[in-house]
Amino acid sequence: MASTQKSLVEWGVLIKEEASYGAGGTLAEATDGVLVNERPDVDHQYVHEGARRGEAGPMGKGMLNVRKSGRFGTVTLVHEAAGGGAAYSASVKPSLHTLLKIAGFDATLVDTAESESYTYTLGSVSPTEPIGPGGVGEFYARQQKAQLSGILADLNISSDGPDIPVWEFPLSGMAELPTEASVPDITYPSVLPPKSESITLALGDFATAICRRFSLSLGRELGARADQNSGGHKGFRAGQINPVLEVEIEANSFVATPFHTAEGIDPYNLSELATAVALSLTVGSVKYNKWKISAPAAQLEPVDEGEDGPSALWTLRWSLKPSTPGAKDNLSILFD
Amino acid sequence: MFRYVTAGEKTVEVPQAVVAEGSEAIEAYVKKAREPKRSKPKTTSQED
Repeated sequence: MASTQKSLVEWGVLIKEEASYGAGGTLAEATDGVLVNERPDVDHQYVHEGARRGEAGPMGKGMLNVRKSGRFGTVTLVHEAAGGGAAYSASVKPSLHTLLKIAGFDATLVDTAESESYTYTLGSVSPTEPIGPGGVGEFYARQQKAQLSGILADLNISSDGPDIPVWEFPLSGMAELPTEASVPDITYPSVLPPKSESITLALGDFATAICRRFSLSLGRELGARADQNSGGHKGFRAGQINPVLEVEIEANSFVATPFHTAEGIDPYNLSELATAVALSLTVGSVKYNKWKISAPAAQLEPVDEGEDGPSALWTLRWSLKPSTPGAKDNLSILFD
Repeated sequence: MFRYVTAGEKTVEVPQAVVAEGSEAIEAYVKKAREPKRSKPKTTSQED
């Protein structure tokens, strides 16, 4: 019998936190589904591709390779973040809770009545938890299932105009070879994501900028750990982060010192003086379906001047720093 | 790390092994962590 042609139509993702890094785990369709907007094709790669030394061999005709070692996989999940849609609890979480955890954030649930929230802050690295939680995931696409464990993530958020902000999570993890599988019956949250059509952007004391677009990159370094002892790959380790929030705003009249007031901003002075200002960006206004990024000590990089027809624009790249050298408060993300 | 905060209650940091078990396990862990610790019942020595 001829084999069946595979389809690209359906896809799905199940992902959860591991008990300890690389431990794997069993996934449940009812609780571990994450809605992604683009097909989650896992790119399988190897630490060593099995190539031999020398390009052509002794006769100029090449040589047989040896087996590959250290299999791992990468995939970028494209997600539209939504809140829990009801009072937050251990079971009612933002749609991207697991993804933020494996991107290195700690989660704090406040379940005080009428003030329920989840806050995500940069996670700790301690001798007992040197890597932070990893994830275990199943990625269904092309009528195949790819499995990753020890997954760590980076994070990029972007919004061009009054659209639904896109949260991209580039994942890296140890991989199994794909197996034949159909997409299971995954339960997804039904809350619609908030749009960036009435955002609240505060650049220091200036909270009325006309914002054209914004983006955030966490800039999380993920290092692969080659391992000659067991199969060639021991997973990944998170390194430093370099978070940057970029906003494109309509240029305004300059304001005097401290160069960020209720009337406007002077980014040239702020950049030259390396003034640290508090930033915040809120998307959505409905309780239990809005999110806010806060950064207490952002410093402005050199200003990019732009234009849109007759409008003068500034692209402002804010480097999100800790408020003190010993702090880890570069940014936090609140869902309430 | 998963931190569980309720006004007027002790803040509980939930171990990762419990977090990985899911929301019911988290709730159970927090509930148990907030239970008042019972003191051991006093044993009285047998008196003649």
